[in-house]
Amino acid sequence: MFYISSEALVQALCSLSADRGISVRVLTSSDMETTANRPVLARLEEHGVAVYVVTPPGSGRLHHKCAVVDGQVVLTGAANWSEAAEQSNHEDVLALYSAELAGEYLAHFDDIQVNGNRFEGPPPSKVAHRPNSRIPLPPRNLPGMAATADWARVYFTPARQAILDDLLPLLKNAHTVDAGMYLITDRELMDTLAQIASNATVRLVVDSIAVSGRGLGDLQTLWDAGVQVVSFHKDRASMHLKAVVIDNRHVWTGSANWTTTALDGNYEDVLWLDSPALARLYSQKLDDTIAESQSFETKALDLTAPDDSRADSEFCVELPATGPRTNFTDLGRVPFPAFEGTGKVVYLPDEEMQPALRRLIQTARQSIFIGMYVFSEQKSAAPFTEEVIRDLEAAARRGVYIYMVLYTPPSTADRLDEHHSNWAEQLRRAGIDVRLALPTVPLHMKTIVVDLSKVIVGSHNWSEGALSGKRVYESSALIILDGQEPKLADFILSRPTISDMRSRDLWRQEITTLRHLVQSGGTARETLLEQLENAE
Amino acid sequence: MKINRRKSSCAKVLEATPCRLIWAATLLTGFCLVPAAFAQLDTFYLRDGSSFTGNIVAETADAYRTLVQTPTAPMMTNVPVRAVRYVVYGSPQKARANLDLERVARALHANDNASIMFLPTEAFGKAVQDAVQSARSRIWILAYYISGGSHETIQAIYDTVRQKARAGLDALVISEFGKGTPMPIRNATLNYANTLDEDGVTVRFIQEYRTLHKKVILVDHDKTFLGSANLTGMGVSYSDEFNVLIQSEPFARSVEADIRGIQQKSKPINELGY
Repeated sequence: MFYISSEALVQALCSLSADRGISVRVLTSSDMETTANRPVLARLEEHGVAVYVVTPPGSGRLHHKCAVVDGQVVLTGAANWSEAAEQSNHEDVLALYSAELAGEYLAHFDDIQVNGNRFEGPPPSKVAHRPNSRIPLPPRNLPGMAATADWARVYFTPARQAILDDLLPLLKNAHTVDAGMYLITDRELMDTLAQIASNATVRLVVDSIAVSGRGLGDLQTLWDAGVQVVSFHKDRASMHLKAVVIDNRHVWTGSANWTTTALDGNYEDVLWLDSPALARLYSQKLDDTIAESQSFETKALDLTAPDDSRADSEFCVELPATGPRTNFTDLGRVPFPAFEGTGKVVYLPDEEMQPALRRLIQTARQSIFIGMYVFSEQKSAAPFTEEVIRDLEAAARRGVYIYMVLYTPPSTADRLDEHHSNWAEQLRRAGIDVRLALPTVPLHMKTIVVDLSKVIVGSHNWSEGALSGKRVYESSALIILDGQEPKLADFILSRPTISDMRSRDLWRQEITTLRHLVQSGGTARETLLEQLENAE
Repeated sequence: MKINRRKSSCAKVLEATPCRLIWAATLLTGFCLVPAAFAQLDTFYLRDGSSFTGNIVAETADAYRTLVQTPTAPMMTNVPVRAVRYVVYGSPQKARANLDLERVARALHANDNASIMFLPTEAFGKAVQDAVQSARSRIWILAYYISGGSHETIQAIYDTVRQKARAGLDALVISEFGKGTPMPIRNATLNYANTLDEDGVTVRFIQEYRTLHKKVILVDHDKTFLGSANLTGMGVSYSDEFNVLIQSEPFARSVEADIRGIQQKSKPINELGY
């Protein structure tokens, strides 16, 4: 087991060993030996569980999430024994009733134990036998669904070549492929998916963790090849499956992500099961996961120069003109030195910020400058956010100049990408000069400056949870300066933003170009820059 | 009529919105007013990017009535508010009066006098480093993340906190530890918490429905840092951040009261549920 933290399962193991005298052996990863997790291993040892910390040769890790019970049943899948796996994530656990498979797992455990050390916790203590202690009764009806498999094969990694020898022919002849893969970086597997997508229906759901850095470019390539890529993005929950269904019959699952490290460096298990019934269950599960996920960016790189006719004439004529295009060769953060002031201050913790914010906006005379990391989704029931929006729109109607720069995430998988574009569209129509920051610079500030003299600085994002004070503990300060400080405007106005804000199409085009630039490097980047220059 | 502008593109605004931009060319004959009127000029920064100076003599809902010096003579104009980005008044006194700063401060209970340092990204890290270095009695930190990090400024800050804690200074760190925190962050947080704890820093965590997102550092009894930056390499070198250092004892007392409240809701490491 790679990671154990579930209180119920730790207690069950302790109880099996200490109360019922059942032999319990745990092989785990060196990640469990860190300060944070050692107490769990110590507790197991105290109750007589034999704990071994196993590290594969090289830089790999023991990444299993499997158990063998009584030499008869194998429990395996993507789920670590953690509360996040039990309660929040998309995971799978298979209970395989097969003495033959169980034997293979036990033999593997014996093999890898050679690369392990007994956990150096306190010596096992004698725990009194308590037959009536808290041992959970087996459930009358097992959760989940039953299916039989005609045939199964298990691979224990490192075994990348053996796995690919069996998996690639199946993929290459497939008509349908449904994959839920937490991480996918193995070049050969990705190339194969891209190749088959022109003839087969290929659906791939990945976790948001896969949609970052270089992963973004790789997934774009898969999308461009016809793979239906979606990404799962939720706070505190992961799409943690490593499962693939081929032609509604073959199920591949286990602990291994489709990465070279997993297949050739870690200790992992990969199961291949031939079972239409099981395939149906997994496809249903993937349907549910896909329904909660976001489609991958469909926008292709558009190298044509911006066309004025695409500018939205509904935008308020009193907004400053925007454009021309962003300077694509200068995409870094603009440093700004510290500056001083004197004035009156008050501390605004939690729910005390929003009323002060509203008052500042309501009494604004000339200008409002805002730099904001999170401006949450427009929801039907978000009264605290709605009040702020109404105040801003009223200030714009009075003639107050409002400049708002919002964070642009590096990836479309981040929901803020769409939310901030939505706000830009709505608020620019209301005469508010919303700009989107460059996706190359994480704009993380949460600041509002009114009339160059009244300032709120702090940790409050403009989300309902923060503004209401109900979901997040936050701290901000209200500062009323003794006079105006023009550097406050200079600071916010000098944050680099997307230049062309004339219409959603135009700013999306620039953001897409910037993301392509970030993902490309070396000669490809130079070529792209040259193309952009020629398009001007 | 011609007004000297630092950038001539205002003509475009005039053409674009003629109905709103009525520059009333009311020539004044009282030249004797000029020296006093232009003593401390107000500066207009317009939405078209240009700027010019004048003396605002009255403000209405629609316009700034402004005395402007032309090459030939001073004249009174109405500058429409909708053409203006912002105005910098010629003196702090005029700004205070025209912007009602004292009334707004009273209404919002901003009563504590303070000197304020505005701290964008790099300046924040440097200022925190200096402040913890000179701390005499306490360093209290509320943090969304804690980790030793690999950034030299962050390492230097935490090294100083640990060193001061070993010497007996009151060092407290309260951080977030949600049950859904991803394992790598959880491990990094707990490992570093243990390191801090061994040096005598009191480390506690919030683990409840509400997330601790505060970024506050209280140094001694008068210095408070707060803002958007986490104490991470990102926060002091990469992201676009904005923080303040507020030097005020009454303000620090309000922050202290809030931290004590958070402390009561927090747990020590050994009581955390995973």
